[in-house]
Amino acid sequence: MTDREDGSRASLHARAELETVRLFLAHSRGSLVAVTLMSIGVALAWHDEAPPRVRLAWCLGACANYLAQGVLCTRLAHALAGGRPVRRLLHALTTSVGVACTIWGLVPWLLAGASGPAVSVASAFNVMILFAASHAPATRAMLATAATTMSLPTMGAILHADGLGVGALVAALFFATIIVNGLRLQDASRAATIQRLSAEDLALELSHQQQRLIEVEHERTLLLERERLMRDIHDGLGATLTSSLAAVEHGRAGAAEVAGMLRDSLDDLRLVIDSLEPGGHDVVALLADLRHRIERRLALAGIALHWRMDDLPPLEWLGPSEALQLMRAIQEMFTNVIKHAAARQVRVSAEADAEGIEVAIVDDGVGFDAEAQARGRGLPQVRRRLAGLGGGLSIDSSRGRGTVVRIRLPLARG
Amino acid sequence: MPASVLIVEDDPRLREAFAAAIAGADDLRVAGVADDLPEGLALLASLSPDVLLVDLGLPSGHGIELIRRARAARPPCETMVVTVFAEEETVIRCIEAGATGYLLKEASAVDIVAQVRLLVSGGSPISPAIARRLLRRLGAPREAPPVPGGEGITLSPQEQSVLAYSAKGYSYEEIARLMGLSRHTIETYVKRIYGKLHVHSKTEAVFEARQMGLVRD
Repeated sequence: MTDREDGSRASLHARAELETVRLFLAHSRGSLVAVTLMSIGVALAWHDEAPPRVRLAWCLGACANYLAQGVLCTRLAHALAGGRPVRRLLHALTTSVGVACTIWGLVPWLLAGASGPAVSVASAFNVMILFAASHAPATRAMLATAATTMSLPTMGAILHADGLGVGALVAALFFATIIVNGLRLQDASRAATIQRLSAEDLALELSHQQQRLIEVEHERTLLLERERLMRDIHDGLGATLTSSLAAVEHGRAGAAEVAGMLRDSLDDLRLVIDSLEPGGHDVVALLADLRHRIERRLALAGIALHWRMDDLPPLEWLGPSEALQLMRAIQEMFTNVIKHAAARQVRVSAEADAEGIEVAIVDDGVGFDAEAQARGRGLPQVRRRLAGLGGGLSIDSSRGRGTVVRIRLPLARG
Repeated sequence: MPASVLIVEDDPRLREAFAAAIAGADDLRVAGVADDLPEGLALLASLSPDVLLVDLGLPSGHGIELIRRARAARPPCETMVVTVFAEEETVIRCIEAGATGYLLKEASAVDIVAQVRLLVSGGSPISPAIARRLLRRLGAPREAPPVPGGEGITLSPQEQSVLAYSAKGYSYEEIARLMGLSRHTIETYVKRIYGKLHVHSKTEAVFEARQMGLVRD
């Protein structure tokens, strides 16, 4: 094993030991009460076998030890809860367990002067106590202490009373079996605890990793969104402001023209902000916002706007970036009407069919040659924007006949 | 009698532009001008103007306090907030505080006068974004138990229609034609809706305060 594995294995053992101590403490109150009552009962029971002073002394001694043990348990519990070191308290507790077992081990001795069976009964009692104790959760040290301090005096009493007879052999066998069994139980329990702790550690590590993964993913999304936003702003505002600055610095623009360019910049900034609004995938909302923004300019140009809009199906692909592209494209078409069409009326409507949504912008202006003058109207860019969205642009126009612009948007993008 | 307008705006150029626009209209006059919150509050109390034109981003603090005071003032003072983008989040919060109008910072003199006149005549402006947000707000079923003693925001069917049309992009003129009412009526409907939102948010605040034991009955 590597050093790290050694270290973590040691710490697992240490934690498992603390778990055992916790379990012990959980049992301690109940067992202390039980064993106190038992001691009182035993002291009362052998009123024929031993003088009252001896019984009283024994009983008080036992109870005093149980009291001390109770206090130690409480302090140990507090220390564990507070994360303080427990080594010394644990030693004290183990000692007190040893004292308790010694006190029980004394019983056969105290009854030695009485009738024969009394020693056997007392020894049998001790065997049973040790049997019960060996099943309780306890540290190795406690088990060893209990086993020694209980079995040795008891064995001694049997040997003293009966010599190396059947009773002694049977008792020795019982003690040996109990001790071995107790040790095995402790090992099994310890192993189970260690497995459980390992599994808990693994689960914790897994949840930490998942958390890290989520954070990384979140950061990535934010980064992509920020890049997208910077690109979009750079495309619109960056370009407009730069050309306005150039125009002003080279004295090529008058105040009115600069005002116009600045207004265009503000408009584009509004467009970007509008596109960020969580309006969902609603084309109607997009068109409504656009109309609201350009209404004044249409009015100033003396163009009457006829608006016809109803509910339209949502477009799943219409996120903020797509909305921005679409708004820029449609805005460009409106700007064309204002700047070039010399129109009196413009009708805007939108309809949906099985394939998608069609936005129609119809003006009664002078019309234009859609092919020859495409560049001057910024049409290639509009087409590019719409194509990027999976949509298309169709223009029906010729000189003197007004213009019909149809913008098609697919319901779903392949 | 010309309506008096109190202008609270920290940008000197904008302040002059607003003042000039108001002064240029016969039915309006400039009651006073302030460039920060404390002075604005003082003038609001001493001049009792009909209309308050306030920029939210003032050096000493947020203009929303002015809006609340104006709403509570007697005689009543209409508030128009000045905003760069008129994003619905901000505007609606101002409406909840008691404002009944908003104005874009870039507005021309003609726009400024038109908007103030709209307010004075009992109407309010709206945008599709604001209409959408209001519809979302008021369309949602109430999760909390109804506020005791307060009117929940229930819009009349007419008011619902106005918001729905506005959300689709129709102008006041068009809505009026579609609903067979005058434009002025539509404008007052919007103002009534704003008023309901303000009352509701006030009642909600008192209700919550009572719940938290902050206000004694």
